[in-house]
Amino acid sequence: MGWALLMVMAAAAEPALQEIQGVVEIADKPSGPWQRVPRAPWVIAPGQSIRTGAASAAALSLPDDSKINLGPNAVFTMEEARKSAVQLFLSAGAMRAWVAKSFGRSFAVKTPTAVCSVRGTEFLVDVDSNRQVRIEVLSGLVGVRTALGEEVELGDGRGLRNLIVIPDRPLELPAGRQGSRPAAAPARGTLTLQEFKKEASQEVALGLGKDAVQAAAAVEARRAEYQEGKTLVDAFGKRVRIEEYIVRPAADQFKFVVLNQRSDRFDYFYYQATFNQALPVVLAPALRYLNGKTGSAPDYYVTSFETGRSNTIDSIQETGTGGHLVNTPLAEDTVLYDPGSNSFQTVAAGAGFWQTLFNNYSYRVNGAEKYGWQPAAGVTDITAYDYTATGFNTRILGGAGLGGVTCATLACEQTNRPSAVTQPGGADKLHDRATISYSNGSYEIYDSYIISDEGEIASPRDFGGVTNGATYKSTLLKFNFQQVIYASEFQGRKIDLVIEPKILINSGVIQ
Amino acid sequence: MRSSPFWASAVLLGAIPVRALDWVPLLDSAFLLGQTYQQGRATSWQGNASLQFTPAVKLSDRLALIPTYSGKYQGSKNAAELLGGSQLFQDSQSHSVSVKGVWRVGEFKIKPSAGYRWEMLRETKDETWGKGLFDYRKPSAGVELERAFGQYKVGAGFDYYEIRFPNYSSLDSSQFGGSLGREQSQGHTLDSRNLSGTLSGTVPLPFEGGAARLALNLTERSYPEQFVVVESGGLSAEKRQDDSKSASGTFYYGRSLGSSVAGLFSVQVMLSRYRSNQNHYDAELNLFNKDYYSYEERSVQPRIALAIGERRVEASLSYLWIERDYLTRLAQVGSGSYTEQTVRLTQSSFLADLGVPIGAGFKAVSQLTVSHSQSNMRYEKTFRYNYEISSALVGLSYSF
Repeated sequence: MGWALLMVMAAAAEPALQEIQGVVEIADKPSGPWQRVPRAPWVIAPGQSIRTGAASAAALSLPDDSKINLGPNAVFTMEEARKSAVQLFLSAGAMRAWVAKSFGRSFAVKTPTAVCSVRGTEFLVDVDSNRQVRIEVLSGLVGVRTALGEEVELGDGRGLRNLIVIPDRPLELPAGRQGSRPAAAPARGTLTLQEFKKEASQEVALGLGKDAVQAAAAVEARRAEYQEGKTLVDAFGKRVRIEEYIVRPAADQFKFVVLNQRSDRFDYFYYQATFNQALPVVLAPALRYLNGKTGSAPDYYVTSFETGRSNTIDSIQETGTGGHLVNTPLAEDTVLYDPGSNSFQTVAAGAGFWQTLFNNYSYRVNGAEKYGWQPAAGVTDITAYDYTATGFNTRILGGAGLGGVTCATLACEQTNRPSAVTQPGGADKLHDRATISYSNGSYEIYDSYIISDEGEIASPRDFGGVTNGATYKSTLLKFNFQQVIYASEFQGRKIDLVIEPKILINSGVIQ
Repeated sequence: MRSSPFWASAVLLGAIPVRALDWVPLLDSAFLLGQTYQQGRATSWQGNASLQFTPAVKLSDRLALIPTYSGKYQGSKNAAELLGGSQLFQDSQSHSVSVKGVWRVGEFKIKPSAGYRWEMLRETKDETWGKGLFDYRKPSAGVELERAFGQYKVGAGFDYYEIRFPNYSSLDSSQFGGSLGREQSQGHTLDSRNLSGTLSGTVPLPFEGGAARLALNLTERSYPEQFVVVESGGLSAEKRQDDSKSASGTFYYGRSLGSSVAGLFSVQVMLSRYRSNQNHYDAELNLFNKDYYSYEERSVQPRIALAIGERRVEASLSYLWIERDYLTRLAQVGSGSYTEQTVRLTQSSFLADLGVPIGAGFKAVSQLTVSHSQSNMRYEKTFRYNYEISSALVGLSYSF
């Protein structure tokens, strides 16, 4: 709606010239002074007069939706124009009127010698230079009362269709027209140019409005994708599409999948776990204590797992088997993630803590094991990932042909697999780079970025200056995490994942 | 012949509307420059342009044909359009072609129509025209029936349209996701087929210059490639099916304010109810949310439009208030944890438009929009629910 409607409403509220041809003038009084109407539409105030020049014409609209066309050399006064009453005076010239049907509204056309009272009609009135009035009713009904007091109804088959009112003389019927049948409404010519333009304009506005309403469904679909976190912008201003879902390969298994797609690449992460028993339909209770539990032992724990990160060519894969529960008092206050409340909680030192430990672990790059662990000879279940505790050995470069070693001490591991963490963007950027190198010259680099809502690398200021502990980790949940992995085996390629931190926390990748 | 001047006048009068009605060109175009301000940050100046052209053809008094082209480029969105967390870095172009017939049969107007719209978006630095993830196409067809009873008008319409996102397919169903995907996943999960029916009526109000338009709409929306998520996190064999019901009323009052000012006052009120059988599974927090997309919405928009002086300077002020209540979708705190409350989203916008005719169909125009969005949803990693945004656009329009 808008100005088109405003024009309609203005036209509906006030009489207005909707179209003019040739010379059309307006005056506040029938005696003038006359001013030329500059353009249409032009609002006509009650009491104003209009006159048309030779070979000129004008079309008017009235508040009750009636329409009037004025022919050449016409003089016309709008005596009254309300929805409840319309009174016009045609002192010279010809007019044609289409009068809207309406109950309770009077519509009268006065001439020098007659008054036409109209009830839903199309009719013609002509006042010639001798003040002789000719009236023809094309449809509907017109009551005519002459200055001599005679009254007659015209039109609609109930009376006469046309007549001539001559000053100071009785009604005179045109020859051969008495009692004729009402003429059919004209087949053409019911819409002025202005009216058709207005109608077309309204139809266009309605059509475009409908188009916009229908298109809103597409906007809703797009918004839903953003709301569900299925699309975001990464640290480099590029779109990353994310889909996360679970599948249930077996009754005691679930697999959590994160797919990332950019315009030029596809990366994915998955975590599959096998539990000690069949899982319930609603998974939350079973997954709540993946990272450990105080108090009684958890009902559900993982006996084996597999994680994978890949760019569809290269992969980093981790597997763990021989999962078993171990209850160990915590040596110090420990910050733990609670999936139930999606928050970090501090568990005090000394509290008994149930944890799942895996006897066998393997970390593979493009299928070749570069790191792993196993129980020492004679040990059934590892009781701690600690060389000083009984039965924990690590394997460095354990893959075939890599010349690997087995370490029984931390020093051995650090010699054969040294690692370092740096901040390439400086202290003001939460961008860490962990580099792991091996004795055979191979390496892996993990670039980790904390990304804000706008895809920018976060600053420690966003964390209130806190860079570790429960507060830091809780704040971390509000950000996205981008992990870019390079490895000597990737031949210049990388794995580039945008992923929520809690996914990595839940699956044990981040502690 | 004695009466020849009379009949000559009659012929002329009848001829006024006939002449030159074979076709009418309508053109509306605009070019605007503007800036958007969000969270105190301003974008660089960006331009918007639009063009709408209709060569309306009157084939006869009973039959008219109204073809329309509408094209739009938006380099800077106004704040109301950005409500809902869209990115600031975004430009779009849309093109729409349609044709509508208006056929008068007795007191009735029958209006069949068909159209095709396509919209292209560049939301990120790596998207090019035609490659936008959310580019869409919308073929549509419909028919309306209208009848006027004096100042009363009633209408009924029926439309069918499809929304297709040619560049969007679920990753789940992709070549690489396939090995990790779910059995029933399919590609074009956002594509929908829509059937819409509308009843409307325009009635005069019992005071001069008053009118009301009332409308009821029912839309059935099906997603042929989107399966319903079930409580276990998997997919059922059932497909997603939504329906939308809405009722709206717009009340107008037009009148002169003195000798040189015309005013149009309007209030639009709308109630809508959206139902979907689709659920949601938060795979990170393992939470199943039934009927995730179902909501109820209310909106009110009062508006004042003025045409001032002989130059017909146009000014309008309006305020838009929308409140949406999701029926089961749970609100989340900033870290993503769920609360017991369902999501409520309240949006409001203040809009001010000004158009000053400068001759020959040209107008200097300006648009100012200030919008505010508020929600109990505080998890805003990928979608912003709580913010203020404003935009200012200035430019030229041309129409005839």
